[in-house]
Amino acid sequence: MPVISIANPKGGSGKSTTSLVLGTTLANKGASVCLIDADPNQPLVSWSRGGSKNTVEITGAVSEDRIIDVIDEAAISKQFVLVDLEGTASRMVSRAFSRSDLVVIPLQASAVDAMQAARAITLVKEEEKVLRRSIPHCLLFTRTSPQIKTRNEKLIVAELRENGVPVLSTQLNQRVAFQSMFTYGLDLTELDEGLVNGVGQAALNADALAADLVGFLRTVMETLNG
Amino acid sequence: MAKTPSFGFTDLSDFKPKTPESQSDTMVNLEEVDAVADNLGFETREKQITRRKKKGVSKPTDQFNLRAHIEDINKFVDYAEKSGKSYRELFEQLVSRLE
Repeated sequence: MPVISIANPKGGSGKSTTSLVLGTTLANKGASVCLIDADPNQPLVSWSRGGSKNTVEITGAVSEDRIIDVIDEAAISKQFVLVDLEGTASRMVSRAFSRSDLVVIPLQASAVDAMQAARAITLVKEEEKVLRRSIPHCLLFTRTSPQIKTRNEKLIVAELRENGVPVLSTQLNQRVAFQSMFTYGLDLTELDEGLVNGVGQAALNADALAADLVGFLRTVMETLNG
Repeated sequence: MAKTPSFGFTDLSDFKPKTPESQSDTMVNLEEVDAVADNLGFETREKQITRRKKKGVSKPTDQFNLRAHIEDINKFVDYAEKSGKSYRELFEQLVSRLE
């Protein structure tokens, strides 16, 4: 059912990593998943050339004119459709939001990322008015330390709580294994633990994040179905 | 050794693909969505550009320098820009009026 857009107009906020981690993890749990690579740099298409056996399907080379059709086509054949959007404020982003059941906004714990995340939320709110439906959305902290919460992170979280912005409780930590997925074109279960450090911890983090997302989606579905 | 944690993935079958019917129920008015995006600075990155075929040169050409009033030069350059003509084409047009 769910079409999930992963967006933040700020580049480098962890959108593609989030998309790949969530997509491959859900696929490994038995779900049918399509990842739409709507980033002109096509990081997920490049990843797919690495020879991974993961069942996630990657669709690339999407234009603004085609994005809605591509999303709709994927959504009738897959349980989960994730749209990895480019790190810029573009019409591709707004059009993808219009067909999304959930918008996940990844951000690093920095003021610049937070300000751009707020821009994405404003777009969600304005689109809700013209679409006359709610577009559930949540923030996801990325590249965080598993051990230490920074002062920046605490400040941003406090402001988000104050304003009632939903935040996924699981964060995507800074781990070499996540970057190595792109290096080797493999999913976490396929990485060689002799070559890449912390694969096990990364896999636990990925599982927890995907479960958190699934839980959030179930809550959204229950709310929508009354 | 710590027990392997469980994350509640035992069954994801409650997530089903959409049906074409459910999609048509939620079709969007793209003009309204685009207007919202434009207002917030989420603009198109795929501007349509009409490509013009460049006219080739069919006669021999040469070049000459010209000292002219700045005002006239600016007028000439502005006109060339507005009309989409090259300096050569515009000069040719002016010369043809002398005949």
